Amino acid sequence: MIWSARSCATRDHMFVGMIASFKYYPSNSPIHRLDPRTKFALLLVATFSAALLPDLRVLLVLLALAVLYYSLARLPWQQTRTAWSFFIFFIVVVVGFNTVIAGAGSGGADSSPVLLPLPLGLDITWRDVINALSIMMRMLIGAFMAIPITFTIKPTRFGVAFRGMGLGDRIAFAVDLAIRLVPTYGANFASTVDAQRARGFEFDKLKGGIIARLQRLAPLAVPVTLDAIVSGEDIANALDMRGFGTRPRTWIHARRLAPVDWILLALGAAILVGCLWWRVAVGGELWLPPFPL
Amino acid sequence: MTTLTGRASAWAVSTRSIVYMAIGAALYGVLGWATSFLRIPGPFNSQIRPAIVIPMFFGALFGPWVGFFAGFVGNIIIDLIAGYGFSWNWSLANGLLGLISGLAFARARGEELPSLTQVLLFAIGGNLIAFLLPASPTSGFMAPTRHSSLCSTSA
Repeated sequence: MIWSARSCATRDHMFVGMIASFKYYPSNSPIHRLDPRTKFALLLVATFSAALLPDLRVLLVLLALAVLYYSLARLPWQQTRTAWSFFIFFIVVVVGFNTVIAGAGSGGADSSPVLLPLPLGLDITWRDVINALSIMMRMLIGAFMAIPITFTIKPTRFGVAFRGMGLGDRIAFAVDLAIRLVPTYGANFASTVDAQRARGFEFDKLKGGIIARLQRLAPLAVPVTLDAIVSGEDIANALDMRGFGTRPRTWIHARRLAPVDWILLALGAAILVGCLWWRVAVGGELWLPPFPL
Repeated sequence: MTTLTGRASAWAVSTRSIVYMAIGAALYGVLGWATSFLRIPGPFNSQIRPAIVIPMFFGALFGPWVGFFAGFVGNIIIDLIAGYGFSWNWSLANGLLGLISGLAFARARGEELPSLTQVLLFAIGGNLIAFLLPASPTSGFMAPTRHSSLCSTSA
């Protein structure tokens, strides 16, 4: 169920398939039906709202909303496993562990209970744990909102989405063109691999250390890069001859925001304003729940 | 003396710039993903990404905006192909690599390239910015960038 932008002629080419397949997951879930602009806006709202407040009570509410949003996308685990494995490792080990250690080593006045006494004044306190939880929850909220972007927006909709968010026609066109060129360069890369194999280049048997492997990639990367640069002149000339940039463009996939998009955008704006108010009125301090033991 | 493709201004965004923005981003996306097998052993999902030279090369050759776009959108494309979600902050770091490389060459006019000293100064300045910006791990949602020079993680 993976959407692929490449042509049928190259569909059976495993290597191209590996390169040029976007991970869009076609479905008719409520999140799939949302306008891409709404999804980007909600991601930004969640990111900035979570960054504004370290208060676990607020973050729990935001996390619940993010989980609800993610569950509505109905994404299968097989599709998102790679993304989650990275995010979970990053959030739990890199961010969580680092924050606890960094908090313990930062010194300062911390009167909260010591959970794990360590030498050199590196005691891990209740405050360190709550602070790490707060940072991890912020990252989790971002992950729940960011992962659906990849799987619920068709790659060909990115350009028009950026246009709808206020980017100029030319930049939005560049985004659109970049997405369209990916399968072309994927196919070029596969053709180059085949051509070099015919000359005795063993792509599948790259041996040696990292430097040796890098050096052996040059016969593949250089022709693809040079071909792309040379072909760029043709594309630029073709666009100029068609008067590109002389008047506003129209977009075949342009769409109006549906009522549900407006409702979600209003909800997102309310959440952001609410978090801003909380930051100003209540303060952006870490909320320390009473130690349970 | 080496020519810089005879560009009129490093900051001008012409039709040609738009096309090379797209080409740089697509190339970075494809080559970045194609070399994802160059993993660094360990649990950090890190990899050597030689394709990181693409945004820098395009920035130097076609201007800072082209370099920024190639890095920013190219990393989004890699994330889209790899299925890693949408990490705008890390894509931004990739874009800055292309932008800073472009800045090193932005003052070059006519037929001359900048001196090696100038290029090295920009490289050192860029690295300093990269190291200083994410200095506080508790500063909010921003995570440390995953790409420094040749080394990056795959997401």
